[in-house]
Amino acid sequence: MYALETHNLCKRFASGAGVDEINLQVPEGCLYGFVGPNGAGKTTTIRLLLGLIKAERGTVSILGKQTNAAGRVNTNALRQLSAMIESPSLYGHLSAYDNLEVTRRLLAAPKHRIDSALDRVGLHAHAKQRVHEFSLGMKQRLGIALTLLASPKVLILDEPSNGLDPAGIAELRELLKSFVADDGMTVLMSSHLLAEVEQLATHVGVLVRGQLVFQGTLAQLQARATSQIEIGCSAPNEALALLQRRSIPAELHGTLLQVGHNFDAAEINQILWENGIAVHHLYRRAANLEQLFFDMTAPINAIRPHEPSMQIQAAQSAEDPMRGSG
Amino acid sequence: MNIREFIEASARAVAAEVLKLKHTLALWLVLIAPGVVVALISVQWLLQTRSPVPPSNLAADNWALYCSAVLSIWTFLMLPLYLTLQAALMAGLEHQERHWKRLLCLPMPRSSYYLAKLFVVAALVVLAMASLVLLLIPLGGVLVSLRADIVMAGWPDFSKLISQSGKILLCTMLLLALANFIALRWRSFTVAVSIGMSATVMGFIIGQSPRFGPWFPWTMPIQPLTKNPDLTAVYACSAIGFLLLTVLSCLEFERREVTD
Repeated sequence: MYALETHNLCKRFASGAGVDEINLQVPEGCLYGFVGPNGAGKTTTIRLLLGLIKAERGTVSILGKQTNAAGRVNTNALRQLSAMIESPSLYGHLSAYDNLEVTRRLLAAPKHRIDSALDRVGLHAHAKQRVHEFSLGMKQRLGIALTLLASPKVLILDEPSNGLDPAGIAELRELLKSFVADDGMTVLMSSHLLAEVEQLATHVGVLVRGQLVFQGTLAQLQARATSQIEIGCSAPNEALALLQRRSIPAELHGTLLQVGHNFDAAEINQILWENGIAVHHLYRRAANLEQLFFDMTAPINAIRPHEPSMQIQAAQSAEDPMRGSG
Repeated sequence: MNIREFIEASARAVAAEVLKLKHTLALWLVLIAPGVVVALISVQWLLQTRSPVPPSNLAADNWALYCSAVLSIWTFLMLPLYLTLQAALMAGLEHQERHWKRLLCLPMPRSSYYLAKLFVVAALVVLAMASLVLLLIPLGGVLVSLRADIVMAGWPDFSKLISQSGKILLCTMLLLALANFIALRWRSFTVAVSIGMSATVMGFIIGQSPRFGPWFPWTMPIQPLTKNPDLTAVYACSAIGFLLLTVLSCLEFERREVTD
């Protein structure tokens, strides 16, 4: 069962921004990284999931139950779900404890949850401190503590690492991993940084200009990223012509030749050596997820059609059942 | 969600609103705003060269005169401004840090937040009226002790004061609903305060008109202190206007999209 699922979810704003036909599938118990550049529509999608805005079309299901009526998710459906959208919303004039108490009163949650939430995010010692004295990292942790008061099964965090220092990001990462591993929660975390998501997500959805261009496991995404063979030789231009004559697609970048991953490095070395070209550098560059992300998220007119990663993406998209409708 | 659940949710929202008042200016204003009015009238009486009360007046009449002077300034000038400011401050608690995006994705009916805000602002108005009445005694006492020609023995007529306060509150209902709607509808504190201030100033002119004064929401609260013999229509207008506007505001709030 999917913890969160949308079917053809659409929302357009007057400015033209929005999301189109989003078919999100977040499996239960996973840590789903929702990635995309700024303005891709991540926050819009999250707001649609939470009923903060009304969808023009499409449905939202939370833990297997379709929840939206007349375009908006109904509030009862949100009982098993908690969220923090962008920066945490806190009352600066109140203490950390009182901030949690405000939400506890709204949820009619038992009082002991405040202490356990503060313990969980490591803020117990600062419970009586007013929030306007908190650092950004502490505010972020308190924001997460607020989401824990409801004992949610699904947690949605929109750009939770924004503004955090590296230590704060590492702490957050461990916290999110523990929510999934220890509490069995499903976590959907949006980010504009694939590198960040790569370190903790089990599943990834890539949103570009309001469309989901990839959805699947991290391993599936990594499989799309291509490794390349880098060749340094005595006559690069001759080597390029030679490889192209043998139907081996190669590109010359400065004095280095680049060949796709599905060719045997030893075989290429032998071809060049037999033709009197001395090879002084032969290196297989590891799969580059970041480059794949750039390829996926680059403006359409900036993508060169012959780029290997894009060719692979196009070839695989038809047969990949987890792929989104982008 | 049935009516019982809705009432319970609204009660929880009120409890949350009460906690949010901690350490806020809104809470201090309950004492400051009426205190300023009572102090202002007391200082005015104290500094007048001629006695502010006719020498033939009885002590009880002097209390009535003093209370009437305080209530008039409070109702005509301070109450509309106080209400505007309190509604803006209460709404600002959510607008400032963009709390709506968090609050409105909790499993609570949206209207419960709206009604809780309305209830708390109304409670702040009632508390301010109570402060005003209570502050009359000590500041009246100070006035008497500092100026020998003012005699105000005994106590003010509390039953009359409470009755007048009740009537004023009844006539303030429409203004309360309006101020709350404006403060919650627009995110800007300036918008809410500007509208309230402008309307209060307009009230100086409109309030003098027997034709329009009773129907302008910002001058409706002063009506129980005027010589208008029959205020039934004004009470009805205020109460019905309050109910209608609250229902419409709740509907608007339910449908509102949270995009910022």
